[in-house]
Amino acid sequence: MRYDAAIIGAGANGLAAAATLGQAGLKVIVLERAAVCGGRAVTREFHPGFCASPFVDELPQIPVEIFHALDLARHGAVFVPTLSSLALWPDRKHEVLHWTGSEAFNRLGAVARKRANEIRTRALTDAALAPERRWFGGAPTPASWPGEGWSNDSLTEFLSESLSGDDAHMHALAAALSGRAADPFAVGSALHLLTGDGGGTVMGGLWTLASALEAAARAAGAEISLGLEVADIRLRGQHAVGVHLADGTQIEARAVISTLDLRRTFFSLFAWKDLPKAVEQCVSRYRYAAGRARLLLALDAPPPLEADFAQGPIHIAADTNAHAKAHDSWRNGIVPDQPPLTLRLVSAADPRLAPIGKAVLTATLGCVPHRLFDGAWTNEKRTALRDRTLAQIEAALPGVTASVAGSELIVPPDIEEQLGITEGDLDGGEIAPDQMFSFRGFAEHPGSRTPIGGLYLGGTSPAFGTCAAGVIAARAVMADLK
Amino acid sequence: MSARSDAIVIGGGLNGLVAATYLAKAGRKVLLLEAEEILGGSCRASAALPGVRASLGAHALTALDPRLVKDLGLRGLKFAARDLPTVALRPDGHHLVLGRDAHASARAIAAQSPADAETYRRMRSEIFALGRAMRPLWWDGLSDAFSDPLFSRLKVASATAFLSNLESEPLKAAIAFDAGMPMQSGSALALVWRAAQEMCGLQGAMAMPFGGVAALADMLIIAAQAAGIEIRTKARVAKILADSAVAGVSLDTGEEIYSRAVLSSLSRRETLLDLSPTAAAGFSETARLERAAPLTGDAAILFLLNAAPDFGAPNGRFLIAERLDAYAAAESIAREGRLPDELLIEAVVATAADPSLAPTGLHVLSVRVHGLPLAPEGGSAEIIKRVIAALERHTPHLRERIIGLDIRLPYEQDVFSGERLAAAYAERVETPVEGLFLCGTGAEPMNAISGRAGRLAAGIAQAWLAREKRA
Repeated sequence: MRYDAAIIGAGANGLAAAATLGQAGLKVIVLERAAVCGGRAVTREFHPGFCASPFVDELPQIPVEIFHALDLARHGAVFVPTLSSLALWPDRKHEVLHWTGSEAFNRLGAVARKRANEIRTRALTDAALAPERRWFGGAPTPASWPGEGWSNDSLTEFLSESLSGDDAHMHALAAALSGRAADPFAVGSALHLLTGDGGGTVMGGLWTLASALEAAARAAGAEISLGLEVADIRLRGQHAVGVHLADGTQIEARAVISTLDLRRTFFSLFAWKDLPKAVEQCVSRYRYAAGRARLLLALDAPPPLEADFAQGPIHIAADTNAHAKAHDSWRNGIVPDQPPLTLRLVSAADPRLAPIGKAVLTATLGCVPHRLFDGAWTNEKRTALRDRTLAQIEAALPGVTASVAGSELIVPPDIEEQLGITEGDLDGGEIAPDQMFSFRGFAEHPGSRTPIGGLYLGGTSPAFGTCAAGVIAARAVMADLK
Repeated sequence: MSARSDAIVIGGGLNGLVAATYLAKAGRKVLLLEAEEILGGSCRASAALPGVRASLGAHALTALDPRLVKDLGLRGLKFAARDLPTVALRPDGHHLVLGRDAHASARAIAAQSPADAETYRRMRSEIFALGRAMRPLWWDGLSDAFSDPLFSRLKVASATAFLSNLESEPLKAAIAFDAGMPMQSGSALALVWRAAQEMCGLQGAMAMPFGGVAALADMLIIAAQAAGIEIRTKARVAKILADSAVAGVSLDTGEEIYSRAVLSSLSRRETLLDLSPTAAAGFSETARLERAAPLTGDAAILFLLNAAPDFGAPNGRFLIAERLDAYAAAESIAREGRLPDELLIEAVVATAADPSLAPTGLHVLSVRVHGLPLAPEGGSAEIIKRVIAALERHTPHLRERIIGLDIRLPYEQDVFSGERLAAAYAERVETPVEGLFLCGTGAEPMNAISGRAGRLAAGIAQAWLAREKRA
């Protein structure tokens, strides 16, 4: 069978890429190893009657142009914007301070969103250009990216510059580092602000978004093959010419888009001997910084939270030093005593997730190591982390733990196994100045192109937003196949 | 009040002397103000150890500007050791010797990791080539001479990431010592900067002059006097007088001295925050400098010994740094004001190369400890105790041999950043205050004894003075 493009992975990026290429009249196939589409955009029942999206509550915003181009609203994706962000100070004895979106905090969010928008626009336009013929003397130095200046700032420094007041500072810090592992003092950590906040929750859970994307891809004429893993990418010379499926089927394609992360793409889909030494080195040098663990809680009674505040994320505020300390333990493979914690009463925004009168609370932990210094993630260690998190939740929202009916804990190796993401890093690589912008992937091959001709990377990239990386790869394919 | 001079140079250290001499040679009337009794700054010989010529500022030279030697006629500068190899000390005695001979180094590395030997050779030639290509920027301050995608990547890459293709921890840790804070973004470029330097015609070498670094200072003092500079010692500058443009300085005695330009060899922070009038640098720059307070620094210790220390390795620059992680650990511990568990130490037996640095029969071990808190718990006594303990693991009986020591606690220096390293000299030399220039540590891209900042700052100040006269 011969296709114009084969897309590996039917997550949001893969489906968006398929829909974009399909709309352009190309013959496309999407190859997914799982039985359903969606990747991280899944929602499942984790306790009888209680549903939650196990990996993320909210995806970064889908760029408006892509949302409209794929006609996602007609396919059933209805977004409810997240209006509040709440910070709690459990250690303040007499009061729990609610603090939601001060003016400066919102302004900072607006600046970050604007930057991310500019970055995305630039990436989308760049991708549509065929690569310039390079004369001797190497590639021209790329023009600087919007937001590149943040590469020189640490998060702490940047926040104290733009926000006055420690409370706002701590809130913004917790929001930027939620579910991640990063040192807020490190130069370049300000880039975390570009990852932006969520694009709102989807009615019916993230799963609805996945099915909307799937419908959009199918409507555009893309073929979707589920349940068969891609075994390797077929090469002719240094050019990708198709893929082998696990059952031995050969699929010929003029272009291959991989939505896996960099390391997974090159180290699991190629034989080591086929890779040029330089590519192998570049890929193995790429760093991942997974720190996300999740605790899903089924509650018999909704916690005592004011309805206005209950819908958005609830960050348990901690000061800069606490974040730096947590990052230190993470680096040494130790679960921090007080991992950065974000709670979210997902059933408040979407009542369909829990039975009537009950609630679903998710806890997102940061700085939880993928590899522990003393070996694997055993059951005892999981239980210890669960208990510790419950104690932290109890301190922030007294009385909640008494109503817990069931729970599920997800640690980075679980994410790695279930989603096939290196180390379980949902950002697809550590957010650091040398891994962002032109340096994401291969500096000499800008955008989604790779040293292997005909192979494109469409995996998650922070700052691009949901679906954008896939569309960027699709545009590069269209430019090159022309 | 003395007659008005063209330029006042604050600080009689190496860079201050160089800047003053260049300006005087260009025909300017220059006044050099030094707070201490003797000139030389960090280059001068230790005062606490009589008869010892070694200095706390540096135990050897890695980055001396070759143009300086030519322009100022420092022909008397002779070298006792031209190229000290780096010896990464291991507790098991299998020291890793990294010298000029790439094949010998590769063999030493191959004993621990065969794959690394090849990677190291390639990495080294890559860094050296890039270093040579970067010289127009770092030697002459020409910023537009170089643009390369690799350069823009290294500007934001950390040395840790750059070295991740190597597998042997001791090797990585040894190379990373030159990068300062190897986990910081931009520190990969620091490795290239080190490789761009040249001593005795050898790229990336470490050399020891006869008579120590103090001999270099002495020669510069002679050159400065010969150039006709007015020098005042024990003249501590209390304030720089400026409103829109610089007017002069006032001393702590209250005396005011006027001049058209002021060159400060202090750090940017000290110059603009402590010495200049409030917010003379503008509010945003002042706020930025206030936030960029360094938390860690290097300490230096000189041990005077009555018997030579034995490291069980050929003489060289000994490094104690076994794991790359130790740098990050030290940094985060130092941030809390505590001493790291694993000290990162560079040590040179100064008298092994040049016995004249100490009285006959005595030896000097010069030690630099990397990444300590600025005000450590326990003070210098605790540092000394810990350093001796760390050294004794590699050279036994050190404690009994010590007959004297001198220590310089970590002090404030401008914080390292890749951006600052990649900027043109003019950006570091010029300040928001008209007529005020930095000519010392604040203008150097990295902390090293080079004199380049003094030479280039003098050129920039000279051009400014000429322009002002016409205007």
